[in-house]
Amino acid sequence: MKKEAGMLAVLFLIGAFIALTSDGTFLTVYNLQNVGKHTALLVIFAIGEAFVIISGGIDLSVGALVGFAAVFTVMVSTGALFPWLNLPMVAAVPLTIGLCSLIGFVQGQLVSRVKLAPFIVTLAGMMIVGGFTQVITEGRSVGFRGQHATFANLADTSFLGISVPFWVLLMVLPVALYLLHFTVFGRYVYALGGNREAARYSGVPTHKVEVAVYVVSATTAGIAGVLYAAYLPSLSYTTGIMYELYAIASCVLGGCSLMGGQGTILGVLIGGAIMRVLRNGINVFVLWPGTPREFRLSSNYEKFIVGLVILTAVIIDVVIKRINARRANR
Amino acid sequence: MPDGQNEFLLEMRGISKRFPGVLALDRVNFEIRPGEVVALVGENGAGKSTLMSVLGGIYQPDDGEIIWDGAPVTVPDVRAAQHLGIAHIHQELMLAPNLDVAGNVFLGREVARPIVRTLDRDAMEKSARHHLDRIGVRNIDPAHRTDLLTTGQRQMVEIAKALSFRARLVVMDEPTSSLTLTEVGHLHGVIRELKRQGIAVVYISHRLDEIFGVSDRVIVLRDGRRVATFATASTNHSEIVHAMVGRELTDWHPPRTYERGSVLLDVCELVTEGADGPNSFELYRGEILGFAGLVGAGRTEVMRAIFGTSRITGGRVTLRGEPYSPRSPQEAIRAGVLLAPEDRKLHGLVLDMSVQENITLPSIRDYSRWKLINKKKEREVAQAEVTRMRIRTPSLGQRTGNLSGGNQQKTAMAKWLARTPTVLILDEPTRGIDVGAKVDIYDHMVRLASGGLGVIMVSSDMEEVLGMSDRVAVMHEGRIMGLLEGKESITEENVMTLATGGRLEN
Repeated sequence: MKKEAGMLAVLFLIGAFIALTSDGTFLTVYNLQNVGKHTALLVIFAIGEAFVIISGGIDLSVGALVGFAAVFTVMVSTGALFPWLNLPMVAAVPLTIGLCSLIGFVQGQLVSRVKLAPFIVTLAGMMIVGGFTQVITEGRSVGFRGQHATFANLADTSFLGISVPFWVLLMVLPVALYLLHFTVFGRYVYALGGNREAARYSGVPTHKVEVAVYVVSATTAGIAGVLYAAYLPSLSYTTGIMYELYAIASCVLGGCSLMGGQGTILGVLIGGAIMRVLRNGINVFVLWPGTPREFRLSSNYEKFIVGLVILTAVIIDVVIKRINARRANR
Repeated sequence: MPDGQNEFLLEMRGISKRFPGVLALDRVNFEIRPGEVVALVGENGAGKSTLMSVLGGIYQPDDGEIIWDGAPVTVPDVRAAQHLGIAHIHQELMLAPNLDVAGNVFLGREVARPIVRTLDRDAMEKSARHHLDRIGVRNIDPAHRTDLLTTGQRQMVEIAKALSFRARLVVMDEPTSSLTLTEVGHLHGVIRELKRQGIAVVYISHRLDEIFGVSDRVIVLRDGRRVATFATASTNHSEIVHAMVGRELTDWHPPRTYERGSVLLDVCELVTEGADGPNSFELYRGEILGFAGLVGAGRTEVMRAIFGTSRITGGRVTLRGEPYSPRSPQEAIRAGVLLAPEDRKLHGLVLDMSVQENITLPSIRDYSRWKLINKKKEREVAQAEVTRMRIRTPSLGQRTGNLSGGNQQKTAMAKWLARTPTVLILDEPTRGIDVGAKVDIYDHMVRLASGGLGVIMVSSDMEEVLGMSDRVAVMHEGRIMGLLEGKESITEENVMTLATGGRLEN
């Protein structure tokens, strides 16, 4: 909990810094809604990734799954896949998410039963899923282009001042909290990541738990992908590229250990929020009021700065750990 | 220089070391002469390892001074200790398994050819062989990968490595905890050889019977203080134990009367990987069945098969008269067969989890409804086990990795007791833990057996096997060589005869 509190403080500090340097544009309702939406779109699948990471694995396929889910929902509901296939959204969405879950199940089986390294399985999974998306789109971009208009604009719709993606996050969050922190399954995820052999000797159904975390991860990627379809007007096989790395970065920022056994849902939420607030901050950053646009930070700096922040965060974390360890040894 | 005969190689004077909340060392003096073997004994937490860590440069003392070879020195880090000629051989051996023997001996100080800077394997192998020869070890090829060696052989490599540093003092921390009896004998031979060459040895061990054969003096620590010093030749086992615990321990092993109940587990012609027997034995209700044998005799393998972590490839097992062939630990646990594994860090505990979470891990499903953990009930169960096993922990939420070895072992046992077992298998239940914790665990085993359980105890500790078992199965090279029953036949001599592949008269 201490770690989460620290990260929350960092989030507020970054927010405060940006609010002071943004010429008043950061703290507008519109901008905060926007940040909230983007945070939701990231955190939904970062939470799934966290299940895998806490269990001691890694899932590199989530970015490709987000892209696949986005493209696939559009294609099966607009006749772009087969001219005769025009599913209503109530069918297209569950079908897409279900397919993602199935892909996660297969990856989980390969990791757990065939005992392949998670890195390899999901790396191959990333390429296969991403490649499949490229094949079905034939390299072109797809979009609703006027069909299913309500759904196509869903991500920009809000209820009670909260955008739809954020509502979805508010539904995913309690389920994830419940699963990881209150159920036997969650306890087993931590045990698996902490010491697989001890878990096995304790009668933990390690295979089932391991398969399940990959299913959770792929499912959340599917949910996020569907939301991207409701957000971006134009999608292609490049949609979702690198997103797995943002998910992993959110987990690490949020206190997950890549060795497994550590991390919380709350932490991942904060980690994801830090990532998105930073990106937004770069867009609205102004050195002093009235600086012309040309002298502002270009969005080309995004990746560079986010990378630096991640590195700084882990270095600080390690330093704090060392100081604590030294204090404990004194 | 005064009288060279009595000159100490090392003197530690008034060493104090404080950790948060505990004074780990309280003005401890320690001294050793060249060519002397000093046994350093005490319960876990008495300060033995801390004292040697101060010497090894791992901890800095808060107070006190170190005199090495007549001159005061400081030991700021491990390298400085090596430089002085102090070598530390740890309980868990520190060798790179993927490198060969010579590569390990010269790790960090590799010999390279001039200019081209390629590794000079021949020179390193030759030198490694020289150091192995010095301790009379001829069965280790310096070109062999260390992961192919036995634990005993790896220890010899560590000693050779120490010699290559020109060590004048070798600290051995629980060197025999995973050695077979023949290897222990060999190690003691090597120690005598080191002694002859004028090298001093600090020998830390829980196995008191060993120190009589090898040491010159015994220094006893208790609660961070040096409480007694004995000349080995003029002391005895109970005097040392008395100094360690501060009270007379007449018999560590609780008295009990053994009443054999019905057959619980019937193992018939069992074949499994690493123990191709075929092995047959029965376990009765109310008994403690010891499994003795040398390390590698196949005892753990038999237990793994019964617990479902390795396959039963032949024979059959019945549990309470029903056929039993578990394919996973889950199935075994469901049937009431529990195993507290030999290596608690590897198989027994999730060190990063709290004491409570570890204790409840195998049983948590029993008090969860709709998959939701009943945290109140969980706490109650954990608290009950902590009290029952007398686990010393500041709180239930304490990270298990922060507990002492004895308390970790108790936690690993408590896990299984939270589910009422039918058959409880304990693999090396007291390895590396102090006398007090041992007695607690023994008490518990007896209580469980009297309660109608069948307990199987795999142990390499002869005293424990003789003192605790109602019957003893002795294994040698994958086979049960004999089952001993009754005080007259459970003797050290009989166990050793069978364990080394011999046969008993009649």
